[in-house]
Amino acid sequence: MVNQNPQPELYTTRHGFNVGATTGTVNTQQIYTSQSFNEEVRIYGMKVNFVDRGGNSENYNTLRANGDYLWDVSIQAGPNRIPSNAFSLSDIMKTGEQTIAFSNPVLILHRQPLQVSVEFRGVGPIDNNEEVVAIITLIAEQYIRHE
Amino acid sequence: MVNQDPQPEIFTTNFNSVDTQAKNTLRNVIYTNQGHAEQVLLYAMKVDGVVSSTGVEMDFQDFEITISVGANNIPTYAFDGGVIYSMRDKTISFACPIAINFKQPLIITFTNSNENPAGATNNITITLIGETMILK
Repeated sequence: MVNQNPQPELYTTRHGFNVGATTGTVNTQQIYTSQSFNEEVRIYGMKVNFVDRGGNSENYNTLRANGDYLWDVSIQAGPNRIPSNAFSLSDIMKTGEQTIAFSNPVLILHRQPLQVSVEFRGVGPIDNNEEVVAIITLIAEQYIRHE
Repeated sequence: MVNQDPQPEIFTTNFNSVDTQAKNTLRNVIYTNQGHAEQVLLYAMKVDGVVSSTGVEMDFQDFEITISVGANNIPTYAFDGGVIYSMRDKTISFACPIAINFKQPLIITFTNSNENPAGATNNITITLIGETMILK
C-alpha cells in the first residue's frame, strides 16, 4: 500500500555464495512488494554490488583475480522471466555506475511474486577463502492504477 | 520557509565514528524547516564514507539505509547503501520524488547488520538532493 502516489521503491536482495560453490549454483530471493489490488510496481533499473563476508568491497578486478567474475541474473515476475532470459551481472558490475536501465519498465501486478536469481557461471569453485555476496537493488516505483 | 519558490535544498547528515566491527543501527533527524503550506520533494541521494582516522575512502560496503517520512518508510524497505557508495558518482536517483509534508519528521537510519572483522571506524555522510516549494 502506497503512502504517496506514486511512491519510489528500492528493493534490495542479498545473494550469498559459500566457499566451494561451483558453476551453475543459483541463489534466488523473494521480494515482497506489499501492493494492493489496485496498485502496480514498475521496475526501471537494477544496481549490483559485490562484497565479501566482512562487508568489504569485492570489485570486478578482485573477482577477476580470484576467477569468480562470471555471474548472471534474472528477474521472475509472476510465472515468467522478464526480461525473457538471464543476463550478465558481470557486465553491469564492470560499469562505473554499476547500474543498468531497462528500455521499458518491468511491470509487477497484484499477487505476482517477484524474485531475483543470481547464478554463478565461473569455472569455480569459489576458493578465495571468503564468501561472495551479490547485492542487487531494483529501482522502482509503486502507484495506484487508474482505470 | 522558502526564500524563493521553488528553493533547491541539499540536506546532509553525518554518521561519525561508526565502528563497523560491531552491528549498528543509527538514526539522524533532518530538519526541513518548512512552513504549513510548503512541501519538500527529494529526488536523489548521495552516499560517501571515509575512514575516520585517515580520511581515505572506506572499503566497507555492506550497509543499508532507511528513509522515514512521517510514520512511514519511503521507499518501503531498507535498501543497499554500499552500492551507492561504490558507484563512480555515488548518487542514486529515485524513480519518483519522495514527498514530505508539513510536520512530517524526516529520519535517516544507517544499519550494518553484519560485523566487519577487519573493520575500521568510519565517517558516513548521506546527502539528500531536493527542493522546497509552496503548495498551490
